[in-house]
Order: sequence, then structure tokens, then C-alpha cells
Amino acid sequence: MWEGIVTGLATALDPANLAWVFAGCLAGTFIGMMPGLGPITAIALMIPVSYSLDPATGLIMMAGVYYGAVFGGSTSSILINAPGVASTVATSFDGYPMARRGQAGRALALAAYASFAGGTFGAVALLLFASALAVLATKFQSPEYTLILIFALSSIAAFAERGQVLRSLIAALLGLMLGTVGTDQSAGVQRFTFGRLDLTDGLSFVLVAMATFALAEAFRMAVAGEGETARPRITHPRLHPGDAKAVAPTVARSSALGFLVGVLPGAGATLASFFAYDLQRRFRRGGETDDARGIAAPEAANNAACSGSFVPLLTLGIPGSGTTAVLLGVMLSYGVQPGPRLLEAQPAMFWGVIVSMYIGNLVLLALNLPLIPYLSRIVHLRRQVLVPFVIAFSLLGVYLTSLNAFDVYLMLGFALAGFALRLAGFPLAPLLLGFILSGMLEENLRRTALLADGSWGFFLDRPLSLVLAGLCALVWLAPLNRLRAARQREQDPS
Amino acid sequence: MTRRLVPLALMAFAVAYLWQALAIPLDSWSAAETINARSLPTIYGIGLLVLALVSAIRPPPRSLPEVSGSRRRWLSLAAHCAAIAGFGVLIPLAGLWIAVAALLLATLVIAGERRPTVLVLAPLGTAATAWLLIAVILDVYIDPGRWLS
Repeated sequence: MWEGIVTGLATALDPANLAWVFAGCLAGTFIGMMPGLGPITAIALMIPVSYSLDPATGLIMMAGVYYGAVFGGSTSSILINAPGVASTVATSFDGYPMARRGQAGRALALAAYASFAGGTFGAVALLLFASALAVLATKFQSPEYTLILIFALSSIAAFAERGQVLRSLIAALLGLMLGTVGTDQSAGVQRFTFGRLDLTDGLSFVLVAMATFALAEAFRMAVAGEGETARPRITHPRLHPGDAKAVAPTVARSSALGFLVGVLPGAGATLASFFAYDLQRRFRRGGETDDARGIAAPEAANNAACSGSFVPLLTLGIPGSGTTAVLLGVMLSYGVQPGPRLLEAQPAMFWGVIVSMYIGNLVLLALNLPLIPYLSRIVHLRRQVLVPFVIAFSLLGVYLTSLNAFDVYLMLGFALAGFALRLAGFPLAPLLLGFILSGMLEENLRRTALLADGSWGFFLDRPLSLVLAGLCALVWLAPLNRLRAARQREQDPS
Repeated sequence: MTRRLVPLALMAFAVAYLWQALAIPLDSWSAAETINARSLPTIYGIGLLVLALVSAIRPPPRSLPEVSGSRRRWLSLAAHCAAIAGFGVLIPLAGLWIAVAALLLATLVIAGERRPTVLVLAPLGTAATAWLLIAVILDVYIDPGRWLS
């Protein structure tokens, strides 16, 4: 492992890579601060830039964009109560009231330090566990992959927000369906191409990601119009005396919780931040530092979860969240196949990405604390300027990846569909996850069926697949249990 | 209205998808496989049909994302869509860079921007920067379009 860390340090500390981590963090923070634009959009918008870089540098930059966007989201949550990303919604609960009391600088500093601590914890945990998990993952064969893919898809329902289980499942199914468009890899037949050559290679993930996130979000902003936003005074970010001591246990607890939740496929930073905030509320003692802990808990958890979500991506090649699904797409477009063999085949990239996450955290802290008062002006950028630029950049990005004008119309159609789904309350991250996992699921399921000669008992023949089948069953039982508990509460409110 | 329309649209989509899935051509060897090119699309289609039906029957959620624009704003969305479609038409005719500048100008006007400096500098500056970065620095060949070639 130490050899790997040294390799990773050498890769990550390369001046060009350092410069791209810096650029990624800056761009991510900038985009993440814009209300409504989250890490998925930030990464999607940066894809055209990443194509000009070599794979290791591109992925290192994207990791910086991811962290930057999560942190940027907290800034708009705290300053104008408009979370840039779902994972920073919990930060606004205590952050925005603190900013309105004239302590915006303190709230931003708390978010920055807690993010740094959570991100550091996550990066160290990733360093420790990634190689061990990669070794375990080499024992995985197609039945195990099939089951873990089913587990990842099932987790969408288990970890969906309350009242969103059905919608999350529908979105995931739509993603799986979109993934079937194009030439079938095994039989070579065309599926859902309607005789169009433009569709024979299937739908590009960049197109689907940009349409359903960036363009659909621009449409939402265009319809919602200019909102009234309060403008709290932004002082230099600084902690109050006693803040560090008061929030330290909260940060430690939330970081560990965040990392564990982040590792679970389908859970991610949003759930981690809400869990951590909820846990923090249970530990409330009253007094001035309660809201400081209320900011630190979700911030530490969501950053640790970002690192955690890289565990299944790097070791199994399976994205655990919408953001890592986009990152997987970026990796595949580079010709990099993440999974157990990545550690052996491209150790510099594997460790470089992990080490650069820690460096990204350092860069974020160094960058954001002095720049926050200036960067945060972006939250006041008028929508009439923001919307056209989001539209132009997303269309430019998609056209440049294919150089095919047909993709523009396809993107418009998907964006309108995505907008309608959002309007009806459907989450779109499961759609992206389903789209990315669709091909993998079909390929592994077919391979399993061939190996088993049609016998489904093959899934239960190996101990590892038996464990995974048990996990899938547990995940399916979770929403049913929640439903039963909710019914019981309805029947007996006392 | 959208709350009911979307599940109905999803059901219609599921039926159309299933129709197409069952029409996927299979040779005799593929047809004999346990999992063939039709299997998963058929499962997905049936799954979506069932879930969309459940979604249509169930009461809509109490809290939905807030998008309550005026009629003017919905017209603005339609105009944005028209501008994007125009961008698709303009690319093969005028080339990417002119199309990007035109798209940005059109969407800025639609969004309500009226400052002349922004209307001139933003489209021209963005198109020029993108051209410099992609065509000059990265040396990617971009078709100049029928009008300019």
C-alpha cells in the first residue's frame, strides 16, 4: 500500500496535475455556488475540458470539481438559503439563520473547516480500504457482479427520500431503458434505433447527463424566473473562540458516518448529510454552539461521503451515486475500465486519484477561505445571464463530443422530458445511475446465464454470491419495513 | 395537472417501448438463449408499465418542487426551446461558432437581458474563446458550415 501511496503522491504532486486540481476545485466551487447547479452538472459541464487532458490528469481534475461543487453548494446554502446541491440542504438549516444574524463569515468558516476534516477522513479511509477491497473484488465473477449491480439498483429504493421510493424506481427503470438503445453487444441486432445510424452506438452518457441535469435545470430556472434573495453581509471567514473545540466530536462522528454511508451504493452525500444532521440534533445541548455543530455535522458527512462513494467506483467499477456514474462515464470515455484490475493495470492513476482527493481538500481550504467573499458574488448572478450560459455550454459540450447536430435535437427532447419529470417530483439521479448500469447489468446477466446453462440456482452456488443475494433481499425489505412503520404511525399517532 | 399527465405519459411510453421490444429481431440461436436481446427490454417495459400505473393511481405527493412560473415564463421556455432547435439547424449551415454566438444572443434576449454591452460581448466573447481553445489550441477540426465553405 505504501508503495502505492508514494506512486499516488508522485502523480498527484506533478505540477500539471496540481494545477488542474486547483482549476477543478475553483471551477467546481464556482459552478456549485450557482443555485440549482450541483456536482453532476459541474462535472458534466467540465467534460469537454477533460477530453483535452490525459486520463490521470482529467480524473484528478474531475475529483477536484466534485469536491469544489459540494463545497460551493454550502456557500449558497448558507448565504441565500438556496442549496446548490441536495447534499448541502441540511447545511442551510442552521447555516442560513447564522448568516442572517450577521455571522456569515463564521458559518462559512465552519463549513470550510468541517468539509476539510470530513474530506481528509474520507481520503485516509479510502487509502486504507481501497486496496483491500480491490483485492477482494478480484474474486468477483459475473454472478457476483450481477448481484452487486442489482444491489446498487435496489438501494435506490431503499435509500430514496420519504415518499420518493416509487418515483426513484421509475427513474431508475427509465435509465435502464435508455441504456438498451443501440446495437445489442451479444447478438449484434439493432434495438430502438428506428433505422437511424445516429443511434446505432447507443445514447451518449454526456448527452443524457447534460440534458437531464444542466439543460433541464436551465429550463426550471427560466420558468421559475428571478427570485428575491436576501444579501447577508459577507465578512472574512473566521471561527469564534471555542468553536473548534465544540465541533470536534461532531466532526469526527459525522465523518465516520458519512464515509460509511457514502460507500453504500445508492446512498451518497445527501443521505449522509441528513443522517449526520439528524444525529447531531439528538446530541443537542442548547447554547450558542449548537448551530455551529449543526453546520459542521452535514458538511463533514457530505465530504466524507464523496470519498466513500469512490470505493465501489474504483474497486468494483460500479458507481454508487449519480455523480460517480458521470465520473464512470468519463473514465470509460478515456478507455479506463475501473474495477479490481485498475489497481494492477494503472496503479499511478488509481493512487493518483485517491491522493489528489486529499490534496483537493487542502486546495479547497487554502482557496476558499480567502476567496469566499469574492467568489460568493456568483450567488447574486442574475438568472437572465446564468440560464443562457448554462444552455450554451451544455449544448456546446454535447456537440463537441459527437460533432453531430442530431444530438442537439435529442438533447432538447431529453431535457424537456427531464424537466417534466422534475416537475412531477421525480428524482433524476437514479435515471442516470440506471442508464450507466444498464449495459453492465445485461452483459453480466447474460454471461451468468451462459455459465449456468439457464439454471438460476447458479446465483446461490458460491458463498460470495449468496452473501450478496442476502444483501439484496435485505435492501428490498427496507422500504417495506419503512412503509409498515409509517402505517403503524398513522394508525397510532400517539 | 403535470402530476397526472406524467404517469399517463410514462404508461404510454412503456407501451410503445414494449411494442418495440417485442419487435426486436432474433435469430433461432438467440431465441433459444435464456437471456436474449429482447429479455431485459421486455422486463423493463412491463416494470415501467406496472410502476406508472401504481403512480397514476396513488395520490400525488404533498410537496413538489416549486415551479410556478407565469404564462410569460412558460412562453419564454418555449422560446428557449425554439432557440435550441434553431441552433441545431444553424450548425450545418453557418458552422458551430456562429451558431453558438447566435444561440447565446437569442437566449440572452429571451431571458430578458437588454444591456447592449452584454448582448454584444457575451456571444462574441464566448464564441471567440471557444474557437481559440478548441479549434486553435486543441486543433480540433470543426466544419465551418455550408455558407462559409
